[in-house]
Amino acid sequence: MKARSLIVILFLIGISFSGQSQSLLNKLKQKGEDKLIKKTVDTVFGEDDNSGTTNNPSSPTSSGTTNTKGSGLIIEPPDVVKNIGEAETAFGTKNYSSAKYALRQAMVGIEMEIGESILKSLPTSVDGLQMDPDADKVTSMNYGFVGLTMERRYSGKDKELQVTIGNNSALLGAVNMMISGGAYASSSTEQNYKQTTFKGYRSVIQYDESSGYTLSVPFGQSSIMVVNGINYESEPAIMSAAENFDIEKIKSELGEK
Amino acid sequence: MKYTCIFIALSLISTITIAQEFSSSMSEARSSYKSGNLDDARFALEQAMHTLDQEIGKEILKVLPTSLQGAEYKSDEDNVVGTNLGFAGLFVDRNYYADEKSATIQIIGDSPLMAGINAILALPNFVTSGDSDQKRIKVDGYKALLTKNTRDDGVESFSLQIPANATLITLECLGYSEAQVTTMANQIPVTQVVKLAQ
Repeated sequence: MKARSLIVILFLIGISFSGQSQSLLNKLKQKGEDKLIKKTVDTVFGEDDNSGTTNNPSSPTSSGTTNTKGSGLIIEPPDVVKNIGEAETAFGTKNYSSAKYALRQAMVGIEMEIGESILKSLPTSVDGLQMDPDADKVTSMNYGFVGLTMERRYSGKDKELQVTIGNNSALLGAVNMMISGGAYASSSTEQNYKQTTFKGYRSVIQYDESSGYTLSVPFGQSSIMVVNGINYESEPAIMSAAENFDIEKIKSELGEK
Repeated sequence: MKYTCIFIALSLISTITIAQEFSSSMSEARSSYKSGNLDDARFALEQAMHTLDQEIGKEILKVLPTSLQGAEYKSDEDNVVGTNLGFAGLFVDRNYYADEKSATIQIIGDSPLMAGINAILALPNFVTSGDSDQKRIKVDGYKALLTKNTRDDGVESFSLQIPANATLITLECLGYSEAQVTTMANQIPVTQVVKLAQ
């Protein structure tokens, strides 16, 4: 037993030592690489070799090369009609895996269009805050827990308002059931959430010192609208800002009853 | 001979019906999309996916073994469901019986349980070796998690979970030893099933 313990201890020391020596080697290698990069950059830009500072804001990768080119990915929603055709062809030849892939792509394409259309229908300014067009986001997972989500952010001065709409997710159905089942009913005067009503829909409003007010409104069979307001003075203020969103119109566009 | 002909005829009718359903859903999706009715187009595609999952399920059943360690499958208990609920797109199960012993093979596509099982399988061996009822084995080249359960009356059962891509294959065995369960697991054509389900 003692001999076995000794072997285990020696083995662990061995691992530890080899880990340390490996780490030391990596550090030396990194230092060598850093010096080489600095020398190359200085040669190219004519910097003084002894100036101890660098103004390059981007950090180099582990290989030591910093990316300075590239214009990002070409993001285009999948071609729905083309993918429907491909799914039909693949199904006809019993290539079910390809048929499934093409079907999913077609669904992603349709969901992206639904999302874009809903974002277009949202107001461009709310409560004096202007929308941030770069922050508009549509995500379609097609399957899994997420479903289709749309996000828009409004900002101005020290305030910010974000609206997120989720649709067609199994999880949202569960949230809907929890709220309508009274899981969030008020039970204490000190809790930071409570049930409320928004345009006739049972909802939950929460307050958190760091993230502000969050109003969650489940609607239809599997949809939810979440409005998050930062630096809003009071509950009536955030409720009034949320009134700007036409939930009936969103519901109709999502095909929800 | 007569029964074989009837079986072939029924299978053919079923395949034709599924192909017609799929084709009809796709036509509806295309026309709804072209007329700008996105929600109806999405619903039609979901229907097509449901039909496709059912067809995939039937193909999977064809490659599953008909007997495991002497236990024979019950064809009338074969089950294929294209749930289309998001978290479980495809569900296939087959049951096997031999006296008081039984086994079940379940296949779930797009399973939400995948992350949890993969996390356990990714842990170093010494972390999981503390639980004597759980061990990792390999089936058809795939890492799998074997769990032993003991009922109050002392009867042992085993559960083997094989996660692969987005598919989870589960083998539940009652009344078999660990060695027998491992042999049974190796009868499952995992690679073929995963290829069909993905």
